[in-house]
Amino acid sequence: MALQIPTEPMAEVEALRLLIAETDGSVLAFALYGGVAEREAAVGRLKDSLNVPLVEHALEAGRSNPVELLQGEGAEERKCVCFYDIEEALPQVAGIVNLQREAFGQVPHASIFWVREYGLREMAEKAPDFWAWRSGVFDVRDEVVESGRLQALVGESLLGANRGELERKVSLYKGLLEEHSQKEKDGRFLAELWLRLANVQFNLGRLGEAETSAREGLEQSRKIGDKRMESSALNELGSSHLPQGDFKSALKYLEASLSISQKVGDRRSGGGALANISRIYQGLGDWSKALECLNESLSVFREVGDRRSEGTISNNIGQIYLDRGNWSKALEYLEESLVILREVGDCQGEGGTLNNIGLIYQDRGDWSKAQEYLEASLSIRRGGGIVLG
Amino acid sequence: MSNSIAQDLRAAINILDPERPLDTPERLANYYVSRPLSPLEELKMLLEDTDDPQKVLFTGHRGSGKTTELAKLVQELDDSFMVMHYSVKSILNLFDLSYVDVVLSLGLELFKRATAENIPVNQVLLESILDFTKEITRDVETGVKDQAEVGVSLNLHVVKLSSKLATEDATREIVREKVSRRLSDLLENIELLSREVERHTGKRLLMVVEDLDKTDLDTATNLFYKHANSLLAPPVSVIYTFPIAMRHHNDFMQIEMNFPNLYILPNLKVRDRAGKPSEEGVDCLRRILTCRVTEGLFRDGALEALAALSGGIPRELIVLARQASLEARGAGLESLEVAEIERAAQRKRTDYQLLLTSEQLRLLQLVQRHKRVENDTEHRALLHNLSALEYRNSGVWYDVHPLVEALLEDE
Repeated sequence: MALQIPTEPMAEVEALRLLIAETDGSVLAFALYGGVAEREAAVGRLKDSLNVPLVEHALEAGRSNPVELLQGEGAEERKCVCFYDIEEALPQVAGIVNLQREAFGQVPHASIFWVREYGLREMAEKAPDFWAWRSGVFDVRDEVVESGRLQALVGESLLGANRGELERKVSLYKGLLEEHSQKEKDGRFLAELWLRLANVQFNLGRLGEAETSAREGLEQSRKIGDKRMESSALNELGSSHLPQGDFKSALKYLEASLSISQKVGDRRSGGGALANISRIYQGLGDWSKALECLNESLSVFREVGDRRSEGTISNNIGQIYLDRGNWSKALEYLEESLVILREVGDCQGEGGTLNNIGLIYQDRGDWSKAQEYLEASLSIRRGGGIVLG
Repeated sequence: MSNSIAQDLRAAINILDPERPLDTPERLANYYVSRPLSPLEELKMLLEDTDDPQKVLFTGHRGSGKTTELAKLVQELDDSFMVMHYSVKSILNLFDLSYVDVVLSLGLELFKRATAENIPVNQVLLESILDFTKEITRDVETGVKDQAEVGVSLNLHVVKLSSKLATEDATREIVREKVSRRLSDLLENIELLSREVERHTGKRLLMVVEDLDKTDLDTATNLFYKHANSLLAPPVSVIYTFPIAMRHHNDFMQIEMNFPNLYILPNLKVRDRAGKPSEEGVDCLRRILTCRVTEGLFRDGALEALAALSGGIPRELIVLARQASLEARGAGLESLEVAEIERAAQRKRTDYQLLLTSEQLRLLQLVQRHKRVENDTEHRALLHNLSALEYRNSGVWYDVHPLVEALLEDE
């Protein structure tokens, strides 16, 4: 039989979409990718064209059981469940899925394992019974990455992201860093990736990792001589020392960041550094210094028209007055913050501000008002979104 | 029954599901196809016509339909045997499995079944089992208070023991050590309990232990070679599944001497050694498809093309037919044409293209030419990834998976 390449084969993502759309129950498939960019482009295209929701899980050495993640998706609504970074979780993941393959047939979901060539080989060899159940391997290595798509994805806002989504970002940034680390011309992109990675790690509470990434970002931005980037890196580095109470190091980096942003005229970045410096003074109990920094930061953000930061800083000022027992001043700033944060749609921030207002009423002994605000805060943080009058 | 057969491509895609063996009576009734050269009839006769309990090893290639054939066997033996068909996976950790675990799992299954069927067991035996499980669980679990009634207390101990076995490494070690010291007591209890069950039900006992074929070779050698005597000891008939790769192991001759009843489910033969299509095998594969999907959906030559490309492995057939149906749907067609099957084959061929190294392709050319494989690691890897397939009729011979052939021409 001669090798016949059929004419006009279906595009791979389309073939994968069709498999998911045409089946009603469980499906198991592999998608093969070369670089993170192609993977993201393919996932994006798949997501846009599917008739079921797509959820994503990044695996890692300590989080190597896709069966648990799959079962966590419930069984009421059919989903397309994507697993990434199998390679990080080898060899455990191969053993687990091979012995528990029935679990993939017991849910209504389409389970798609996104693998590189190495991962594919390992799964075929080390998880042969699982591999034998696949409905297909879809090769997206030629997937065209539309210009701007990658940048948009990297630059995507993390506002309101949950833990799983943050983990996904870690996986994305790490993948891109690995792929671009050898390319000299990508220096700026690398610096940006390190800083974004540091920021996500900070938000996940992994301070040690955040510090390491911020240092890499600092080194990279110095290498390419980008002052604004250097200032951001110093800011991330300083922030990573704050939660541990290492105020001395934090202040050193944040002041360096502030000084650079003032020199290059980057007002916005300076405003951020000031806000972080105020947290040091708060930690040290120097309220007037803290307020001074925040007020300066507030006027910077007003000047440059950054409404979201303005709302956040107003909340922070209100919080200091709340801590000092100055309820009327506190309420003034917090209510202003609430208006702005609602205007820009920052639910997470809004939830925090509502909580602070609730605390004022609690301190005053107005229990019903306090309860009203605290419940609204809780609800909006869970995504319920109650609007108070 | 009529709506169990797909009348259009979308229904076909959903019925052609590679993840589901025929493990329910309904699915067996709708989709079971008896196959040429199945060892099933012979195995059934062996179990029915011998008075002594038999120990059987059963294996087959991945996707050849082991679970389905065992389910069918169990169904057919239902009148004369009380069958306990279970997976070791549900009780034990396959990563770390010893003969003690397997024998203990037999005892636990037997006890659970006797309890579930309300079989009255005499007090002396109950007390003996309680004594045994108490001794085993003493250091492990102190949470069970002794009840006045033996039966209730015993149930609790057994349940605790089962759940402990499945979960904790340290606990399993302790249990295993204690059981191995009292293995003869365990075997005696199994013997007495099985006699009670047989006396009460009037049926003989058959235990079918699934998923031992998924253990690695070291574990399997440990079980079937080093501790064969313990697996042979329980006085009931047992079918043990085992990994097919064991057959190429150096110790296999010895294993065969211990377990003379060895049954291998062969791949269906789609052509003979000379490459001529084999009608019997192709016909069986056609029936596997047409009892799921109405024949009218297959255009001229489609069924034959699917059968030929499957290499005679039922699961490969199902996967190919599903993918071809998807290709056809994607192309806006309403039935399956040979061109769509070739597209689906091309897709699956890519899997092999990715997995096989140039060295492996070279070895496969030799397999194709000489119809045999050497007993070495390299050739075993080819059987493992299904690029080389085993067939039997008038002896055993090997060939290259039909999907892989086109890759060899490329080399």
